[in-house]
Amino acid sequence: MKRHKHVIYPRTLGEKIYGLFIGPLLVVGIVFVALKFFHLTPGTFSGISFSDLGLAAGLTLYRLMLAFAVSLIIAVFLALFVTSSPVIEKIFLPMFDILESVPILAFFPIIIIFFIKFDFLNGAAIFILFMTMLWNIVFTLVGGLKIIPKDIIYAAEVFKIKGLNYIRKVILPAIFPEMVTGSILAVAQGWNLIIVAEVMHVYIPNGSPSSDLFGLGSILVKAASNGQTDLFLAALAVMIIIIAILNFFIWQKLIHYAERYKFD
Amino acid sequence: MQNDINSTNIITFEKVAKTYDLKDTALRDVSFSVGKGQFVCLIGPSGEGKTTVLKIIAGLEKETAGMVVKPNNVSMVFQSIALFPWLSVFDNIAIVLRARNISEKEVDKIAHEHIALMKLTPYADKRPADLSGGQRQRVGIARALAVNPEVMLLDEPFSSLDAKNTAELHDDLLDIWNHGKKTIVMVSHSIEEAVSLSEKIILIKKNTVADTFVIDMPYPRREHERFQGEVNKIRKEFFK
Repeated sequence: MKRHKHVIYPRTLGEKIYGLFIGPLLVVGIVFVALKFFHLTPGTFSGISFSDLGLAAGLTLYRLMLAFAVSLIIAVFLALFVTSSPVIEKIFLPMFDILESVPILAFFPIIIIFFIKFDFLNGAAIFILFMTMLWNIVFTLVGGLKIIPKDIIYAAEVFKIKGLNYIRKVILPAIFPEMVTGSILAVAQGWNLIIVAEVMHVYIPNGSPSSDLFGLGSILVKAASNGQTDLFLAALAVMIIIIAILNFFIWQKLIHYAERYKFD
Repeated sequence: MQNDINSTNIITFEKVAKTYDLKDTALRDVSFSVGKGQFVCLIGPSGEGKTTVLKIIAGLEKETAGMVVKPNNVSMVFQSIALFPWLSVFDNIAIVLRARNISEKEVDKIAHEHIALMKLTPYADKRPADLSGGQRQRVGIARALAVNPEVMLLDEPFSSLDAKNTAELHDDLLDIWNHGKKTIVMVSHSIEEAVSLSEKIILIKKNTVADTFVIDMPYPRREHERFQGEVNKIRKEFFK
């Protein structure tokens, strides 16, 4: 099996131990040194316990992953649609370009007002995360669809692999590496935006902090603005640990697995 | 151009033209025929229409003018081999059989038969990335044969292989042709290869048929006393 230098995948036992344990432990260590420095004791953080932080992490992950799943499915459809013919591509790709450039946060107040009507603030956060993630995946997939070798398309045609079979067995596997890359970029964008997405009261007319969504993002913002350094560092540590675990157990494994889907 | 072979024609091109965007001419006034069970080679300079002829036979391109008669059940071996890198050798063959709604039992049987035919049994579970160039092209040929085509097209299939692999695959291809009596149309950049393999050579130059040569020589041909003479005769026309 060829090894590709550009793939940062922990292969040796040492790299694996570092990726899974030592890296996150270092972060946690730094956090606890910081807590000591600020003369704070771990256990509860400004009234929020570890289990509360766990619940917040779970809720944040639920919002992120739901938004990611929906954006991945819709991105696949949009990418297949926009590359389905040169005419469609000419009309819709510039449109997608414009939509991608529109700062989604500018529309957040309208989105929130819409979801408030249905008493579903979680929906607003998920929607804004979805809109942020969508275009990363769409454009990466469009790039992937364009580099499928012409002979692969011809082979499918000559051997009569058509319709849904063609999409499922040829096109989707052919763009699997781009699907992984786009997903990594999209989820990273999601983590960036979670802080804004969960702090709703800023965007709600006459909103109060009680209307914020409980999650790691809103805890970080509240802790920072109230000067609760212990809580801020603890929430940050939990977030970093989750990102490290996702990276090690999902993204790195998928990057490695996607190698077999690449054309020579 | 009249057909010069006394067998039933399976492919006929009659004054065929192909243009792109109404101005770029890929083919003009192309006429030839291929008899059932014949081994025909298309040779000629690069970019002057050989692959376009193959694509029209494969149904990948449509002629702009003229008449084409060809069977529906055509398969192709690609220069780039065009295997699906995420599938094993077995699955690369099985996928084209499944596309034809063949029962899973038959898929298994036919795929393994063709894997054995192309001497690939030890590699059935390997993916293309784990195979050599010659082994990959064997999978390409096995895949093309598995669908039991009326015509098998080969687009410069040996151009990236070393001399040893090429010689072995030439022998295998002649065996397949002799035993299965498949009609084979192959594009080649090598006059020697065309003379050593085919019964008829069609020289395509400047986007049309410049000449046709019938090779009437027993196999194996490379050691035959007339081999070099035939090669030289065609080379003269090729470079004229």
